[in-house]
Amino acid sequence: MPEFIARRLLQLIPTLIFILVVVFALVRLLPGDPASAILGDRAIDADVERINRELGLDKPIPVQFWVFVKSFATGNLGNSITLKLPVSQLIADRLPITMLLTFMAAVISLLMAVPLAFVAALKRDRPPDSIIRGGFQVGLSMPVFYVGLILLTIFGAKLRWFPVGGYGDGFLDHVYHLFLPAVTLALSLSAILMRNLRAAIIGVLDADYVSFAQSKGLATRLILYRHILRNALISTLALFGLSIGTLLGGAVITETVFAIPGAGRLMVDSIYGRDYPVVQGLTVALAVLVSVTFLLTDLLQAWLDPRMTK
Amino acid sequence: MSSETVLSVRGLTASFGQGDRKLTAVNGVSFDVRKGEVLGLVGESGSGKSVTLRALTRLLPEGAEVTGQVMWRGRDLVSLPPAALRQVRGGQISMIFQEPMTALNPVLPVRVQIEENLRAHTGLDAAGRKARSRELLDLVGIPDAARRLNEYPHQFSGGMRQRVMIAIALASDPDLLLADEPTTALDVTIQDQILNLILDLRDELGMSVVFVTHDLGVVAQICDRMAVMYAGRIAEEGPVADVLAQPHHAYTLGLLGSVPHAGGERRPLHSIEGTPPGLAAIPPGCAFNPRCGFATSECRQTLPQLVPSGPARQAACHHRDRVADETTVPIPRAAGSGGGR
Amino acid sequence: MTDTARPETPVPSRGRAGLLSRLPRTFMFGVLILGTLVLIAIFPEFFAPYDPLAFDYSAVLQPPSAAHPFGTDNFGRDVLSRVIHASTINLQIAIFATITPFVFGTLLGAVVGYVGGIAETIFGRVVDAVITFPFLVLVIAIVSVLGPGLVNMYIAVGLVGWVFYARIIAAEVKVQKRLDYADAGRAMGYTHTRIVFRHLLPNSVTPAIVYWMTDMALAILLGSSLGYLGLGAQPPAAEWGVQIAEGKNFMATAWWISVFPGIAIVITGLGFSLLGDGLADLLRTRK
Repeated sequence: MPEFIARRLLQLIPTLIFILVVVFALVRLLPGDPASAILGDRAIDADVERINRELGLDKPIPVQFWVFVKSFATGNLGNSITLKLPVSQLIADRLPITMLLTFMAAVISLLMAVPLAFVAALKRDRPPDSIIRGGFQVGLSMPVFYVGLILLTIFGAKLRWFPVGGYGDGFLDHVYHLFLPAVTLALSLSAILMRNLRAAIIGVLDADYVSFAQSKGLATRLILYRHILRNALISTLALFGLSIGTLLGGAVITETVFAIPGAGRLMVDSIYGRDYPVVQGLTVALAVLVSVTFLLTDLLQAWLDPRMTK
Repeated sequence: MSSETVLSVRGLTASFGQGDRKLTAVNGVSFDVRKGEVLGLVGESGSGKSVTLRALTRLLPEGAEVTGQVMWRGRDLVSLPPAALRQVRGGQISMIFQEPMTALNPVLPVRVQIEENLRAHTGLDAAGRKARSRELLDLVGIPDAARRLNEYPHQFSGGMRQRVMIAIALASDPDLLLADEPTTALDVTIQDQILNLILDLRDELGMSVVFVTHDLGVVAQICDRMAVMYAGRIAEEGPVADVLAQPHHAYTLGLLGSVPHAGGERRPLHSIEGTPPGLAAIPPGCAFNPRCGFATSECRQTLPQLVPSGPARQAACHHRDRVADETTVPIPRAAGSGGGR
Repeated sequence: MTDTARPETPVPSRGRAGLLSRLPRTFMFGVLILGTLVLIAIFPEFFAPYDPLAFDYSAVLQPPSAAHPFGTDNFGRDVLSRVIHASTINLQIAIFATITPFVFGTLLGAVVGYVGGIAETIFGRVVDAVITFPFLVLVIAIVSVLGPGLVNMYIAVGLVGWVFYARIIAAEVKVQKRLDYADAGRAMGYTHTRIVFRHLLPNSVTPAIVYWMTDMALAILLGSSLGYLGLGAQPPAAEWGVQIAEGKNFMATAWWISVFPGIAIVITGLGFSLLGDGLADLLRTRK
C-alpha cells in the first residue's frame, strides 16, 4: 500500500505540469487580447503597452511560462484586475466555500444513492425499482439551475425553511446556508451513482461469495454491508471520482442561482470581467482540486479492493 | 459407524416462478443422512442435485419456493424462522462451493472471513477467534497460518483456496457439511488431496457430509451411500458399492456406461443418448423414458415410485429387475487414485 | 453452481411476434417522445397559438387558462407559444453541439486506436487533462472569450466534446484490431485507411452512437445552462434556458413562466435517455 500511494503521488507531478501548460496555452491561444479586453475599445497604445507590461505579456513565451510556473510555485499569482486583491487571497477566501458545497453535495448524493440503489436492486423489476429508477431518470434530465430555482422557491421563499441565498457566518450557519444548494447539486450525481450502484449490486447479489456468506449464517445486515455494498462500491467509486469535475461545473451554476460567494461565482464574474489573472489562477486551483480528488478516490478504491495495489 | 439419522428429508420440493411459468427444479425428494456418513448426490447438470443441496438450508435465490420437510435436531428447517435458520447455517450445517475463487470474498482478508463465522456462532473473544482461526488453517493443512490469515483470496493457489473455504466452513464445528462439487474446478492431484482432507476431517470431527458431484469416480472414492438424481427426483439410492455393482435404475446403468474405466475389458465408451430434459418440458411418466432402452408404454404413462429394491436400497424404475439382470458393470475407480477407501 | 436452476427470463408468449413488439419498450417511448418533438420543432407555427415574440400588455403575468394554457409572461407573451418555438432552437442545440464532436471524435478515435503506441500515449494525456478541468467551466471560459451566442457555444463544446467519443472509439477499435478479419485485411494488402474506415470503424461505432444519444440530452442541459447564464441563445429569442432565466424573478408570483420550459427540458432529456437505453438494448441483442 505505501508503495502504491507513493506511485500515485509521483503520477500527480506530470499531471500538475500538464495542467499548467494547458492553462498557460489556453489563455494565450484563445483570440482576444487581455489589454484591450480590460481597457475596452477606447484603449490608447500607451495603456495597452502598460497593461501588457504589468501582465508580463511583452516578454518572450518561454520567459512568460517560467514566470507563470514560478508564480504558482511561490503562490504569488498577481492581483485581480477588477477586485484589486491578490489572486491567491481570493482563491483562499472563495475556494473553501466551493469545496464545502461540493463535499456536502457528494455526501448527500451518496446518502440518497446508496439506500435507494439497495432497494431498487433488491426489488429488481418490481414497483419500488421502477419508481426509484423513473424518479432518478427525471432528476437526471433536470438542469441544475432549474432544480435550484424550484427548491429555492418552495423551501426558501414560500416555506422559509432555508435562507434564499448567501453564505452566513460560522461553520454551522455555512452548512445551513449551503444545504439547499448542495441538494440541488447532488441530484444529478446521485442519479448517476444510483444507476451504476444498482447495476453493481445486482451483479454482486448473484456472486457465489454472497451465497457463501449466507451459508455461514451471518446476519443479513452484515452481508449487505460487508459483502455486497463493499464490493459494489468499488466500481461506483471510480465513477464518483470522475464525476467531481462535473460537480464543480455544477457548482458554478448553483452558486449563481443561490448567490453564494464561492469560487464558481468568482470564476463566472472573472470571465465576464476579463480578469485573466483570476481566471488563470482559479482554473489551475480547480484542476488541482480535481486531480487530488482523483488521487483520493483511487486510494480509497485501493483500500477497498486489495487486488488493485498489486 | 453409527446408524443414527441426523438429517431426514421428506418430500422436498423447490420451484421457481409462479403460475404458468412455475418451474420445479426439485420434486418430492426424500433421503436420510446418518451420523458420520458421506452421502453422494449424483446426477448430470440440471438434475436438481445442487438445488436440492441448497434447498436443505433454504439457500436459494429470492422467489424460490421450498416445500416438504427437512428435519434437523427435531426441527423442520423448511419452516424455521430466518433468525433460527441463521443459527443452523454455518453453526450446525456448513456449505462449501465449487469455485473457491468466486465463493471467497475477494476484498476481505481470509482472517475476516473466518472470524465472522466464529463471531456469529461462538462466544469466543477477539483473542480466542484469532487463535481458533490459526488452528483452523493448520487443520486444513495450510502452512504458515499466522501470516497467511492476513492475506487475500487472490494470494492463494487454487487448492489452497479450497482449503481456506473448508476452514471457514468448519470454523464453528458443524455436524453436517454440504459440499457442492468442491473439487470439480481443481486439478486431478489437488482434487485427490482435497477429497482426502474432507474424509480425514469427517473422521476427526465426526461430522456427516452430503457431497454433490457428477463424477462417479469421486463417489466411489469417498461416499458411503449415494442417491442418483434425474430431472429433480431421486432415481435410486443405496450403498455405493452395491449401487455401482448392480444398478437398479436404467439411468444409473447409463451413467456407469459413460464412465471411463481403468483396467478391465476395454469397451467403447457409450454416453447416454440425448440430453436431460429442461425443467419446462419434463416428459410424463418416468422422466428418463425418452432416453431409456428399457422404456415401455408403462414408463411413458406412470411415474415410478421410489420403493425398496434390496437391502438398504431403493429405486424408482418400472423395470428394476431387468436392469439388475444386465451384466454386472465393473466398479469405476477414481481417476489418479487407488480407488475407494 | 453448475446446475442451480435459475429460471430463464420468462418470455411472455405473444400471438404475433411482429417487429414492433420485439423492440424494447423504452426505445419505442423514446421514439414517440422525440418524434413528436421533432414534428413540433419543424412546424412550430402550426402548433403555437400565438406569436412567441408579440407583447400584449393587456395580458401580462396571466396564470394558465384556456386562452393561454401555460399562462403569459411579464410582457404578455404566450408561454406555450414560446416553449413550442424554443423547441426548434433546443433541438438544434442537441444536434449541432454534438454532431461535430461525434464525427471528429469518432474518426480521430479510430486512428488513435488503430495506430496505438505514441499516438495513444499522447491521446491518453489529453483525456486526462480534459477530465481534470470541469467541462462547464472550460466551455464558459471559451464562450466568454469568443463572445456569447449559439455558434460560439457549438465551437466551445466541439473543442472539448470530441475527446469522449474518441476515447470510446479508440478502446473499441483496439479490441477489433486484434480480431482475425483485421489480419485478413492486412494479408490482402488493403491500405491502412481502408482497414480502419471500411472495416474496423463500422464494427466499433455502436457504443459511440449510444453515447451520442446521452450526449444530446447533456447538450440540451448545457445549452439551457448557458442560456440561463446569458452565454447561449440571446433574448428575445425563445430558448428554454433563457425562458427559465426570464421567469426566475417571478417564481413566487408567476411560477408558470419558468416551470413549463423546465418540464420541456425534462421531457426532451427523457426522450433521448430512453432512446439511448433502448438503442443499447437493441444493439446488444443484435450482437
